[in-house]
This record gives sequence, C-alpha cells and structure tokens, in this order.
Amino acid sequence: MTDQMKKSSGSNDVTRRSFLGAGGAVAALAATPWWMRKASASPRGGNSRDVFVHVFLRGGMDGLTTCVPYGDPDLYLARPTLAIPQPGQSNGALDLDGFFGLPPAAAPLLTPWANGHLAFVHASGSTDPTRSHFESMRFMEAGIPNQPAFSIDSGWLARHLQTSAPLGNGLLRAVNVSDVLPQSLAKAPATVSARELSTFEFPGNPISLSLRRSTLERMYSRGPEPVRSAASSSLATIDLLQSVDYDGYQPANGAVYPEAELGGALRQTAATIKADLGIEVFMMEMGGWDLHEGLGPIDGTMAGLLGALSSSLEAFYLDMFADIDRVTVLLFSEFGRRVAENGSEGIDHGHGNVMIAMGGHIAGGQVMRQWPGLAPQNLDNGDLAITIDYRDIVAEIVSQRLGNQNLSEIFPNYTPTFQGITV
Amino acid sequence: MPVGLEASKRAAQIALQHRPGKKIDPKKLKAAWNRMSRHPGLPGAPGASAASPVATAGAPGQGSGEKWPRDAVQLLLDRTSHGFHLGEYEIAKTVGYPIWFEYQLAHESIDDSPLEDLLAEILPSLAMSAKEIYDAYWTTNQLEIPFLELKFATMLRAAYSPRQLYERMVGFWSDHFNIDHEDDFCLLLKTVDDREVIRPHALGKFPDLLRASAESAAMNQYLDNFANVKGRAQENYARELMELHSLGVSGPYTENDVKEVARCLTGWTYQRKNPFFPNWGEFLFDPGKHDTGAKTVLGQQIPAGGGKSDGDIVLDILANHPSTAHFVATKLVRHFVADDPPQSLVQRVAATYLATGGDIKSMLRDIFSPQSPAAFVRFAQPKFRRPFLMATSLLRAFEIGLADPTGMLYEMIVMGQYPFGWHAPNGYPDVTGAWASNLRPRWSFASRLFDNQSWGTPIDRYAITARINDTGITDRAEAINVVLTGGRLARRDVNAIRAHIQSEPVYTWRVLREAIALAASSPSYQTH
Repeated sequence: MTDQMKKSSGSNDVTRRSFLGAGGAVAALAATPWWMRKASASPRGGNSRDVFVHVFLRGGMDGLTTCVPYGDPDLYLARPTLAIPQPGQSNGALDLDGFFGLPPAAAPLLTPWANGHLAFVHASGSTDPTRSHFESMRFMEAGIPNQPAFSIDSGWLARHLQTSAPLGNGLLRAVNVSDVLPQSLAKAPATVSARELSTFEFPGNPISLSLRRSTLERMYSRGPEPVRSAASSSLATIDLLQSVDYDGYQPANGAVYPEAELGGALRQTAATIKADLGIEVFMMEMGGWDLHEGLGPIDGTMAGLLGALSSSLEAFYLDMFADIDRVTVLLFSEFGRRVAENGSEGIDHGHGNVMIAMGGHIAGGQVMRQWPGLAPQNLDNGDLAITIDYRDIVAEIVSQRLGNQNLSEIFPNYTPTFQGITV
Repeated sequence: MPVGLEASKRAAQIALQHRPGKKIDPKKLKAAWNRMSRHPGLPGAPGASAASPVATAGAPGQGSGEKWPRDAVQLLLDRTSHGFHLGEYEIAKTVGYPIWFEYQLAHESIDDSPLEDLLAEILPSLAMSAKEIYDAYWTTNQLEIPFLELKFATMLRAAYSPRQLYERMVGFWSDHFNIDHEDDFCLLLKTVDDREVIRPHALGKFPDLLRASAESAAMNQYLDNFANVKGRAQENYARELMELHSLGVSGPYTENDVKEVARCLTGWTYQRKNPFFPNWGEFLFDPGKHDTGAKTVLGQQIPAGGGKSDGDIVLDILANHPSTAHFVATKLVRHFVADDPPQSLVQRVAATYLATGGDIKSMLRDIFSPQSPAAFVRFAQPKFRRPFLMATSLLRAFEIGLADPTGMLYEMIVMGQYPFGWHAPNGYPDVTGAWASNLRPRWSFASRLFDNQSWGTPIDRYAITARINDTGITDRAEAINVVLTGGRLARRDVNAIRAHIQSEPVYTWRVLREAIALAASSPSYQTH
C-alpha cells in the first residue's frame, strides 16, 4: 500500500505540472458558460462531439466504499467493520469535500479530481426496484427502468448511434473492447467486438491475403443479419487499425497503465482515439464487484479492484490529457450494495450507487448529490435511495457532449432533468 | 459473481504460458475414435454387428454431386451434436431420424469407453475426490493441473464422444448451473461438480439436478452459501437459485422470498475449513449455523424447528413450480430451436415437465419430435455457432486430433468461449446478438487451424485431402460443403469458394486448406 501511495503522489506531481501548463486555457474555459463554449470550443476541425468511453462495472460495485459518505454517522452504525474510517484515522478516507472521501485504494482518482475533470454522482442509479444483477443490467442497458422488460430489444447506446450521424465515414462507429456484445450496444450500427485491437488483422498467409479477403467480402456482401454487418465492421476495423502502432505505443505524460484488464482496454482505447479514426464509442467492462463475502475495502478484494480501476483511469487521464476536452468517460454499475454489512464481511445487493464521470467538459471536482441519508427511515428497502436517475446524467452527456438531441428515442417514456454534469 | 483469489485468477494465464504439455498419443485417440465413430451398438448402422432390423431407406447420396438437400437428419445432427460429421450423418440417415434420436437419448447404452479409458489414463484428476485433488495439487501448488484437466476432458468429450446429445446436454446444464472455474476452491471443486452433479443428471430429472447442485460444494463456494448462517443470512445463492436455476427472473418471487429462502438455506455449507478432514470439500449441513425459526416461502409456511429439511422443502417447492417448468422449457427451446422460442412449443415442453416430474428426455422428445421430424424442422430457426461449437465442429468435420489440448483452449479463449470460463452465474449467452459482432477471431481460428498454426492440432494434409476426395465429388467447393455441413452452406457461399479456387493459378494444398478455412468463415457456416 505504501508503494502504491508513493506512486500515486508522484503521478499527482506530473499532473500538476501538466495542469499548470494548460492552466490558461482551462481558466478561460471556466469563465465561459457552457452553452457558448459548445459552439466555440470545438476541438479538431469543428467537430464538437466527444469520443465516449463507457465502462460498465458488472456485479454491483459498492458505492459506499468507492465514494465514502464519511460525514453521515449512520454509515458507521450500519457497517461497523467494513466502512472506510473517517479522514485522519488509520486507513481513513481521503477527504473530497468535507462529507465524502475516497478510500485509500482509490487515491489515483485524485489526479483528475484535483484538475476538475472527475465528478462523482452519488445516490444515483436505475430506479427500477429489481435487485437482480441480470434484470437490472437489462433495464439499465436497454434504457427502460420501470418499463416492461421486453418492450425494446436494443441498447440505449445503440440507439444513440442509430439516431446520430456518423462522425467519420460510418464504417466503424463503436468498439466493444470485449468478446460478448453487451445489451447497451445491442443492434448498434457499425460496431465490432474486439478484446485485442493490436492483433486485429486479416488472418493467414500474406501471399493469398488479398484474394482470400475479396472472397470473404463477396460472401458477406449479402447474407443474413446481424452477421453481415458484423463482417463489414470487422473488415473496416482491420483496415482502420492497420495504421495504429499498438506495440510501440508510448502513453503521454508518463502514464503507466496497470496490466489489469481495464488498464489494457483503456490503453488500447487511448492509442485508438489518438489515431483519430472517427470511432465514436468505446465500451468495456470490469467485473468482480459482487462481494457478498469478504469485501476487503482496505487491503482485500475491493481495495484491489478499486486500485486497478483508479490507476487505470488515472493513466488514461494523463495519457489523454492533451485531448481531454474531446473525451467523456462514464462508469456505472447495475446497482449499489446494501447499506448494512452481512455476516460474512460482505454486502448483499442494494440499490442506489455512485457514478463516475471524467472528461474535459465534466463538471469535475464535485460529488453531485441530493443526499438522502443513511438513517434506516431514509433507506429504500434497506438500501441507499436513488435521488438522481442515471438517465439524467447519461442524457445530459448525450445531448451536451455527443451532440444528439433525440433523447426520447434513447430513453423512451422518460424526460431527463439535466443536473449540470457537463460544462 | 464473486471474484477469485488473485492466485487462482492467474492460473489460466500461467497454465497457458507454461503449457504443461499434456500430450495425447494421436494414435490412441484415433483408435478410440475409430472404434466409437462407427456406432457399433446401433442396430441398423453399417458398422453394427447385429443384422439390421431397420430398413435402409433414404441411403446417403454418396457421389450424387450437387444434390445434398437440407433434410431433417442434418438439422437434427447440427442441433444434437458438437458439429457435423459425414460418417455419422450417413449412419443416422441410414437408421432414420427417430431411431438416431432415441439412440442418442439412451446415452448409457452407447459405448464411450474407448474415450473414457483414454481420459482416465491421461487425466487422473477427473476421478479424484475433492480431498484427493486438494492433497495432490493444492498443497503442492499445482493448481493448474486439475483446472486444465477438466477443461481438456470437456473439449475431448465434446469433440469425440459418440454420446453427442448427452455431451450437448452436459454443456447446456453447465451453463445453466454456471460455476466460475477460476473462483477460489472452484478450481478443484468444479471437477467434482461436473462428475457428480452435472453428468449424472444431464439426461435425468431436472429436480434431481437442482437438488444435486444445491449440495454441490463448488456451487456452494461460488455463490457463497457457506457464508449464509443463522442471524447473518447471505442471499447470494438463494437469489440465483430462484432467478437463474429454477423460477426464472419473471418468476413469482419477491425480495422477501429471497431473504426467506436464504434463511432456509442457512447452515448448508461444505467442509472447507480443515484440509486434514477426509471429507474436505464435501457438502455438509451444519445445524449450529441453521436458523430454526419459522419461514414463509412463496406463500408456503415452513414451521419452526426444521433443520436441513427447510432447504429440502424449498427445493421441492421450486422443482415442482410451474414457473420452473416454463423457465427450463424456455431455455431448452431457445438452445435447441430458436433464439426467440416459439411459445406453443415452450408451453408443450413446460406441460411435459409438470406431467413427468421434470424428465429431461421427455422434454427433448417434445422438442425434437421424433415421430414427426417435420415439426422440428418447421420450428427451427438458425442458431449462431458459438465459439466452443465452432472449434469442435471443425475438429469433428475433418477428424482432427487434439495432441495437446492447451493449444485448443488458447484458441477458444481468444474466440471468447471456453469450458467454465464465464464468470457471472448466468452462463454464456445463448443468442446470436451477443456473439455475432465478434467474427474476426473465428476467421482467424479457421485460418490458423488449417494452416497448422494452432498448437496441438496437427493437420495431416493427406488425411484432409482424402476427406475431400472421398466424397467422390469433383467440384471441390461442393466437396468442402459436404464435409463441413452435409451440403447446407448457402449457394452463394459455395459459388464464392468455387470462384476462389478457380482464381488461384494452380491448385495446391495451400489453396485447398485456405478454401476450407474460407468456407468455415462464410456467413452460412456461422449458423447451424
């Protein structure tokens, strides 16, 4: 843990220098209201839409450990052994705003936080009452909490792509950095699943490559969906990624990605974004959060996961710093965990949670919330109540940073209330 | 969805890096295959010893050129095997759809001993108790051995067992009662779960399977029920038992039922503390940890004072519940018939569940409809060939041996599906949408396999060439089609392969193997 702390404070120094270097621009932006900035601060040739990076934290990440409401005394009554102690105590939280703090394992998040580029949204989530992983994911990813489960079979992120014009030539719009397509991207146009972008090449003997490729193209020029579209996205991806040197990729600002799965996925994502290929969405996931048994918030499993998550995000932030104004990162989980700990030093399924947003146009350095409190009478069936619908946050990012106003198609039967997560 | 020990999480990678070199003598595997693949126990089969009581109507169209129409037997083999095999097709077609289906259903009468003898010889951990595995491998820090041996056995059985329908059902239930092999002691315990829970009941009665799984140490470890104790109930297993194993997420249970079922299952644990106990790793009920208070589950009162019986009552309630029948029926129909299961068929299968006490064979009879194969053909929609099936299909079609299964495991991991590799308790997805966006890895697999770039699957160019030539079909594109699918590839795909071969200046072994890989990469081969 000491080494980890040293490492992250070192990274903080790097960022501080970078931040000072870019300080003039950041200060100018901060003085401009967001609706004006949208028109004026368009990065890269008038393209005002961000690249969107979405990380789904599967298994129900515990929001009360990730962003600790240490100022709420009921936390310590409900979690006598598992709550992160208050700041100043041994293994205590790192204070964020006088009420919330970060667990020591998440210290690397302080880098984007201190630069005003990372925000938490607490007591947020999907208001659907289900406590089932799979049902909750389905509702959240389809974008239809509290609606009939099978009223829609596409994902919210897919509908964003369906209802917006492509940024580039439209051949490859989204990359799912894993093997299996998540519901969020179900029916998405021009989308490919690729866990390893560096080896995404056309297979086989170079002698016959062009001939074999043209045969494959001929076969897939017709044929059943969704296989046909997947093939054209795969072939487009092979062409696009050819120009990217993943093996020789040098992250900027001394960023060091952890070897953990998310670190690798974000490293590939950064290299791909910098290659400017017109890819609009990167989705990835990080699992392992379902800690019914042995949470380990200080030096156990949860601490390990948070360490990997935080240092991956910090590395991505540092690496992308020069382009951070055109990147928005959003992380959330299907639900939070119960307020009270269970008998096996773990926590069962809950409801409200914390979302994490990062980017140059995220209203960072704040824990956005309408805190409902952790006293028993304020809980939703024993769980943190939800006071901010995740769709409010997502819809604002879609509207303000991804330039898509078709919110009623993306989130049917819901009128989002923007909370000011973007600037 | 618990997360494994860091050490165990790394086991797969370590094993892959080190390639323990579990070598299989290709001659022995081939000999076993040759003994089994003629299906000598099947009356009426060409290789059977007894005189055939079955009329050999509809003999296979050997050498009949372009005419290999899609028929019910082809579809049956596609859905009830781990990949089409021409020789098996000829046998099945000779005896006919109903007889082949009933033969596969009566799996115990199919002799798979040549394969099982070979597995027992090279994969000793398969037969060990949890305690024996612990002593042999955990204490000596060789976790990867039992871990890999079970995966190897699963691949070998899927590809080469003559009990193909049975092995498909083993795969189906392994997904239904999914256990993350990399989670903590599941590294060792999944071997026992596979041998004593999944395999004995794969074609038995669903309620027996449900009860056996509830007493599986691996499941207990995976879903944390060992930590579910009196006064500190822990809901993980209780919830997934209802949501994923029995009633289904649309079932009529409430959050309160989850809590009550968890209470009923307090004290259901396994011997995990002391590795010196001879029953280490075995299920046990700990009365001291059981909540003896009264409970109500799905409206049914369970009076105070019960012991293990509380959990047994819960399992009875769940096993006999119409929602369980409907949920199991839906999953079976989705797996074998169509991503979007026809409701009339689901209802028929669910009714059979309730009428037969969850008899799996009876439900499969409803689905495959041996008395009226046309009914199955009418319901069936294309199913996407998931990565595991993609791999086994190519091995089977060309009788490619697995000399070192580590290489095949690696290929499956790259494609995204390998035995017991799914971490969440819902099992690998079973619908096209989840898999179809991930084509390039399978194109690459087909190419690597036939280019002999994949480890452990030695490609014998003479054997593969002979398989093509033995069809007697001079059009090589059509011959490839027949060997791969019995002639079910789309016309335009076959035409494209033919044009491809013709556009090469000279026909060589490279041209043939690349044409085969292209056919395996074609749109129509991705479904079955």
